[in-house]
Amino acid sequence: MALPPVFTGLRDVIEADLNQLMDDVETAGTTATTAITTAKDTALTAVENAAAVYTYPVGVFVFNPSGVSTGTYYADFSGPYSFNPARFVGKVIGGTGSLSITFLSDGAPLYGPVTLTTTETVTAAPAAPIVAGADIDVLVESVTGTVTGFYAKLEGLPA
Amino acid sequence: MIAQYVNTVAPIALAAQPFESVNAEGWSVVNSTPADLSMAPATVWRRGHNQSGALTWWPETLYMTKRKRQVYPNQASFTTNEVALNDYVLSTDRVFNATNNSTQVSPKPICRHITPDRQLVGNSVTAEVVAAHYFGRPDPATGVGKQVACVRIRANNGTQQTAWVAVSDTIISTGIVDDPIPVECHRVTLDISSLSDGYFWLEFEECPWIGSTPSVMRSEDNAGFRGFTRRHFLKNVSLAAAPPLVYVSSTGNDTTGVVSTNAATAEATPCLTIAGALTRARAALGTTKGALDGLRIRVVNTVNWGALVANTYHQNVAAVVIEPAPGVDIATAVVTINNSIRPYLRDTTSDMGEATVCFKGVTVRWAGIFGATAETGRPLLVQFWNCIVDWAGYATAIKSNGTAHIAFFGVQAQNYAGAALSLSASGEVRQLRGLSGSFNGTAIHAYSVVGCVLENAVLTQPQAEEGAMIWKVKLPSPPDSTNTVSINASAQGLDMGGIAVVELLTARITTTEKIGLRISADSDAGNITHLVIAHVTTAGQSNWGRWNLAYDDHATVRRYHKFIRMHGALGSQGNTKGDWFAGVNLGLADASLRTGNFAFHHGVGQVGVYTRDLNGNGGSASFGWAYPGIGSIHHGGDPIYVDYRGVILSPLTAGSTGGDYHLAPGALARDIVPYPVLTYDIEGTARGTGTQDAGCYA
Repeated sequence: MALPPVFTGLRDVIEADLNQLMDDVETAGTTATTAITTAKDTALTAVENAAAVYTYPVGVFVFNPSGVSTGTYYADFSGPYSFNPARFVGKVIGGTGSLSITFLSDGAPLYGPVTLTTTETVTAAPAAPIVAGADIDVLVESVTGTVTGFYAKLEGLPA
Repeated sequence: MIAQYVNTVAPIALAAQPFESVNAEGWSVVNSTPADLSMAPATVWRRGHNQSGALTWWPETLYMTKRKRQVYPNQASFTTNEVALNDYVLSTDRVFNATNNSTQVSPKPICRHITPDRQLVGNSVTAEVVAAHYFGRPDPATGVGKQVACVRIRANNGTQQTAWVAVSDTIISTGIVDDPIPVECHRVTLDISSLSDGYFWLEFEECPWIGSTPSVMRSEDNAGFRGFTRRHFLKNVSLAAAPPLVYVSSTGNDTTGVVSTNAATAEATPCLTIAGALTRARAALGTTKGALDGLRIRVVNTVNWGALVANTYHQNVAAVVIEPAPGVDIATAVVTINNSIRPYLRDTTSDMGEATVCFKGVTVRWAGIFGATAETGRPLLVQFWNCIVDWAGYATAIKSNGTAHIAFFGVQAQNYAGAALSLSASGEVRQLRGLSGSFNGTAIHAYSVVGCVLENAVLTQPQAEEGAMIWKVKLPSPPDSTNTVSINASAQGLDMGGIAVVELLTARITTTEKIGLRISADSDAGNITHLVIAHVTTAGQSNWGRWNLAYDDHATVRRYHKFIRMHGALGSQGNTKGDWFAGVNLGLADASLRTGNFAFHHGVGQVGVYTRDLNGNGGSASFGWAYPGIGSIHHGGDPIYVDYRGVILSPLTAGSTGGDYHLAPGALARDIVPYPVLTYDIEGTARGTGTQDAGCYA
């Protein structure tokens, strides 16, 4: 049996209101979800980035009781992915004196020259991005005194 | 990953360099076992820019060339352990396995703006620039020659900026300036729709291939209007679409002329004179700041400038443009200068501080010695853009006072009487692009000469501390009594700014012995700090049309020259003088210290240079080179032009204008230049990659 017109109109009004209400709820829910997702992503990114600093250090540890020689030391072949060096760390850990090193990327200067001593050297944002597939070398250009060991590394975030 | 070397074997040894260290002067090295002309290669890594303007490292192989000689009086002997390189090593270069003591820094590019600014524009703006640099080279990606890595440009209105746009490739300019010969340049068209209407400027950064951040030429580092500074525009989309118009006709009336954005309305009731048009525009458009910006005064036939009543006319950024009425050709739309060009544009509240009037596409004909006059505190720039400028024999300087300046873009000069285009104590010759005509044997200021054909003229820059630019220029018939190109500083002891002489074509045709290219020679003033001479052709024979370059033989003042690039230059004779000449020929007490040309004398920076005849004094090394540079041939004999019309010495016979200075097939100067540094030749022909001919033709 058909509803009287007055009820039909009332039904339409109520239906429209409910639809609007549902839309508003959905929108609010979406907004909330987006905010939560964004917050989650931000938090995860921060954590991931913090962790990532230590996931791809590239560099060398050299120890030679006869004394470290000048020349090129391979640090990595065909780096797995592009990354942005976030800091450099290096130090003479054996013997006395200092040495001058330069990081090379496919033979081109990447970072340096930097002089390493028995006091740890730390430098923020030291170099341009390293592209995926690059061969990274550490070039010891000169040695002063008798250095029997050192380390030098670049730490970074995936680009 | 961390590679570990514990109790390691030896690392990979560095490739040996053929020398122990680079000297502070950058162009010579210390080598305990020196060999003359060994051409031993050395690899250096140079800090520079890539095609988008980012810092990068470029590898380059340099060569050990001539053993460095001792100074006068021991000039016949080599130094014990020093050898010249073919090029400079910079302090920013990395030279592995040798000590780099160089203190040299790459110079900034030599740049000029070559399109008019002060325009009213809508949502886009176009600008062109040219740039020369010592370290011009082939693009590593394509092999095509480029003087610089790129130019970066953005628009800025003080609160809003567009993104930087980098342009690396050069083009042959079309559609903006009517050039008599093709002009290779960087062009950029910026979308400025994101900027609000109003005054804005363009910012530029010219990035050299070699040289770190301090070697970038930035417009924001330079002040004023003339140099490589900001370019100024007015953005107003609606005004650009419908600017105010006032017509001027020989049948017009200065009291009834109508100003309207409707062309038919304005055309129906024209003014009689330009002065009348300005007066009516002031009445119609008001006296607020910039009221006359973008005003178009349309010339119907031959009209007078007229006599403008002194007042304040409010032009801010965009020039008042005087142009032909639609459908009227350049020969019919004639503005007769029967009075001073004094538009009283003296709104001192303007954004820019300099007023501008632009003649565009009309004939400007002088009827007396009248000039352009600026107002106190309000300099005036008068632009001539795609015009015929007819001096009608009047020797007007145009620049009537010290703050009235002129700029030419695509101008056919007629009946030049010789005063306007030379350096003067009054206003500046800002730009000479696309200028052609005959110039009555006069000197034209070489601050910025681009794409010009200048008959019966010479180029001079006697205050080269501000630099000089000669870019794609023909001087087909220099006058008998004057050197063709002369560049020096205004006083002894001054450093000259960047000087570029690129694809200059000229021939000495008269019988008086004159120099073709003279830059800081003999008693001239000025230390060369950056000089690029690329693919010039200066035809002649022996001393007639010679090069006198980079001397250090002044009676009392020592000079210092460096970063001199000669690439693919072709001429009749070359000379340079230093300690040797100062001692043997002049007997100067301090001759042993006259080493200002020493790098040049040892061939540093010279590539594929060809000279026809012995250098001066019968080929004495006191006038010349210890080594001419890689690929260079000095005293190579007749370069064999297709049609040489220059002076002939035996017997001394004057030549004639015309001729064809392409190299004939089999000419010795063909293919002696190992690589390109320009994309196009003087005819606009692509130079391609690989070896090049000396001279201005590909």
